[in-house]
Amino acid sequence: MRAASLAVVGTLLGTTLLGPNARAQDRPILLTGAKVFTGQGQFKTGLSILIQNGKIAKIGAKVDAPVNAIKHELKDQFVTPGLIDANTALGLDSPTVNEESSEVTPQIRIVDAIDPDAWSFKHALSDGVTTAYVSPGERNVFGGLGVIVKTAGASLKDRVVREDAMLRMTLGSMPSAGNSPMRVAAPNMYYRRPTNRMGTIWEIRKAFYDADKARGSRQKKEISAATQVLINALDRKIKVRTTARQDQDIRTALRLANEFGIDIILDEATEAYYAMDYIVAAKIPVIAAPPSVMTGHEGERPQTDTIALLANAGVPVCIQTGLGLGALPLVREAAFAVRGGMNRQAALASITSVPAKILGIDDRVGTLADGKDADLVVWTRNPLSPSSRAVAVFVDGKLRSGNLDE
Amino acid sequence: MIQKLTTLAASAVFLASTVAAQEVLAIKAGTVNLGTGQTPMENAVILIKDGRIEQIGTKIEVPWNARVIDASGKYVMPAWVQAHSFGGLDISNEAIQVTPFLSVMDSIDPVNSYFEGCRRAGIGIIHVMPGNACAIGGRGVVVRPFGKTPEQMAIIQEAGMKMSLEPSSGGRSKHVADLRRALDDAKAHMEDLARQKKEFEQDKANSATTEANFVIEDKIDPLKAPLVDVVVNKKTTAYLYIPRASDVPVAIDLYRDYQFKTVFVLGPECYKAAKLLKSAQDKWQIPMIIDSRLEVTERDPITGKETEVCTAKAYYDAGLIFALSATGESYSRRMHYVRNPSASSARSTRAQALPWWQVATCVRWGIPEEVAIAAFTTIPASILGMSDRIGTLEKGMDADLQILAAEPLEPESQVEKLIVQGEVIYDRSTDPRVKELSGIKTSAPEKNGK
Repeated sequence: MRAASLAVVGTLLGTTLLGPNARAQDRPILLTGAKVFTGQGQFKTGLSILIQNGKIAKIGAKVDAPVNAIKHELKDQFVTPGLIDANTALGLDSPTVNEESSEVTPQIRIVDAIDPDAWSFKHALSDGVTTAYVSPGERNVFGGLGVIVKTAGASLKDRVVREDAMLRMTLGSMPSAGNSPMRVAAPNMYYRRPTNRMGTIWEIRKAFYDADKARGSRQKKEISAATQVLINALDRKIKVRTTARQDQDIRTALRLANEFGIDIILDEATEAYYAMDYIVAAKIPVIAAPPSVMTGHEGERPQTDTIALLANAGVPVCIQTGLGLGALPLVREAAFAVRGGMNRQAALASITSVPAKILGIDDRVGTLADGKDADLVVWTRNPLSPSSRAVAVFVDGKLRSGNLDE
Repeated sequence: MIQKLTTLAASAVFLASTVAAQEVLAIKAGTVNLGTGQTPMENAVILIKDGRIEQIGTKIEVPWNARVIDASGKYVMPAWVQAHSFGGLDISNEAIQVTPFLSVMDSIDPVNSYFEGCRRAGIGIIHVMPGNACAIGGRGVVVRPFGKTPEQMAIIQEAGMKMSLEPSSGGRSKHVADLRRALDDAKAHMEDLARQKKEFEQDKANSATTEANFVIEDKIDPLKAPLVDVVVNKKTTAYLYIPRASDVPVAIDLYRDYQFKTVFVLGPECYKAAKLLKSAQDKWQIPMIIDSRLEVTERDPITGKETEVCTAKAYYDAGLIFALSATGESYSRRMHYVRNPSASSARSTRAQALPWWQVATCVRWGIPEEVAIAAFTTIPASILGMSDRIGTLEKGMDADLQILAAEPLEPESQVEKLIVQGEVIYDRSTDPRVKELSGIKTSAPEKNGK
């Protein structure tokens, strides 16, 4: 008897305690009073943001909130769209994950290697990154297909924004690093792979040439998954994210793009300051290497203001944390871009609206506007100051990091 | 702890080359942070003469013959002070573990990019010491990062004595035993000399000797003399590097047993012993300098859970007073961070080379801005025993200051000029490395051999 009534009381208490909280996540949220950066321009005062059903229901000067909305007055705080990191190794076992059994693996999908519970996602999330591009590694000539994911969510499936988003192609010395010419009687895999740039570019040409032949062939032969991806690249149905750090590799990338008519995006382009005219003329976007890193990965020579130079030349440019070796969280890399001479508005845009555009996901993320995913970050100060901290991070309308109850 | 200063001799060589003895340097500044905790002055004038601040205020008339630096709209503050560093040396340690007789005067390389990096980052005073791979490494020197020879750079030629609890080969037991044996040896040496003196006096009384006198100071073994100054005379301060939290009690035992003047130089993991360090600081006023790796990721070995910890915040919360450190913006192709064996992973980035970043990191984690800035100015100044000369901008202090393009915590706060002892030792507008590493290039970048 007593046990039963206790149980009833317990359940009632439980519901009262859990009830509103459980439903709290589904209640609309109204944020007011903060300085808001919507994705371009300056921080603006006087904007209110209504979050409902995972989307930004309304952002504006006067926003009518439903009666059950939770209101947060964010006095003196700053709000930006959730940050978008255009190239990362989040959720992966190592900074560079490669299926090295072959150097041409365009069909390999990095989404199959992601651990959604990895701590790297949580760290990026707590620093304001809500959307990240995860890429296959740089040891293959064609590394495979990247994926764009949210850094938090119910399941990996829910978190995928775009699967098989871009094809990775790597120029430079990394695909041939560690391979050596066959000088001994017992060959292994590494003796068969390219040993320098000539072999690397040959593999690229061969792959595209064969794909082109298969595409045009009148014989109804079965086309392999790998070939199909390459055909899609030739048809410009999928972009080719081309890693090119040194100036010679940047110009080779542009030459290949011209030769095969593929739609490329330059990855890192560290020595873009030497090939600026070519990049501008080709009208190609750049996912710039982290500006705080001044040590070259494969002998390239970084400069302090490359990303500012690209932005000033009108090249669409965004920032990545990339391999993560010595890189800071994305928002701090943006601070270093400013330190290197980049304009503040451009720096903020280069981690929000510009990567969204470059990755082709600007219909959903990258700006704070009616109907966009409710991905946003509340900061203690202007996020470009390294003394600022992300107080709360919303992904798809749910508070996924920090809290606003201070 | 102020050693014999070689100021006038060294600075005269310096100052004579650019600023005539009677010349006054006037800085018209937009905002001046005095480093004293007062609200910054707006539109102030700083008059510098003979390497010192002669006047500083808002209503000062600039002498007609003064050389004027127009820093209107810029932010002026004391130069950063680095109380412990082993950059700029040939190699930072010798292979022998106990070498108290060595001095970094013999291995400082004035053209090492480390000093260039310090100038670029606004670090005006550096206490250069031997590295951590020793038991007793030798004497440090307090320098300004400018000069053609170590003598021109030196401000205090005989500074601290470096000691370390980090074993280079073998284990900790032998390492600490070697350290203790060296200290005991120095003490025994002095006791032996005292005994010899007593015997001499007896002999003298018995006319058994023709020697006039027995002066202990003349008989001290020169290889042991530096250690004698640490552990017997207490004239020299030991800077003791503590790699891990578990080494903190060992350091405290050392202090208890030998009672020498010491500064603790803390490795990145020592924050776990923050409370113990605080009680040592309270009891014995031991100053502390913390490692430049301020953000450490702790990984639970069982659950795999990763937590980010800020070491400075852990110390601040425990009530510890500490100095920060950074390695300077040298743009060196090789990262020269010491590899410390540690269970947790301390993230190493170029950013932590910059005092600006270190201070901002402290503030980001909740340490008040004045405390963070003091940790890189007045606190290291007092650790070095130079509070009457550096760390703040006041009348009579050395003119050590930096002119920044923006407020110190903002990313735009590049060092435009660094002035040390009244001399402009860095000017960003003529920094060849800045030109080399920025701008559109029309000739191919120089590639390393690798």
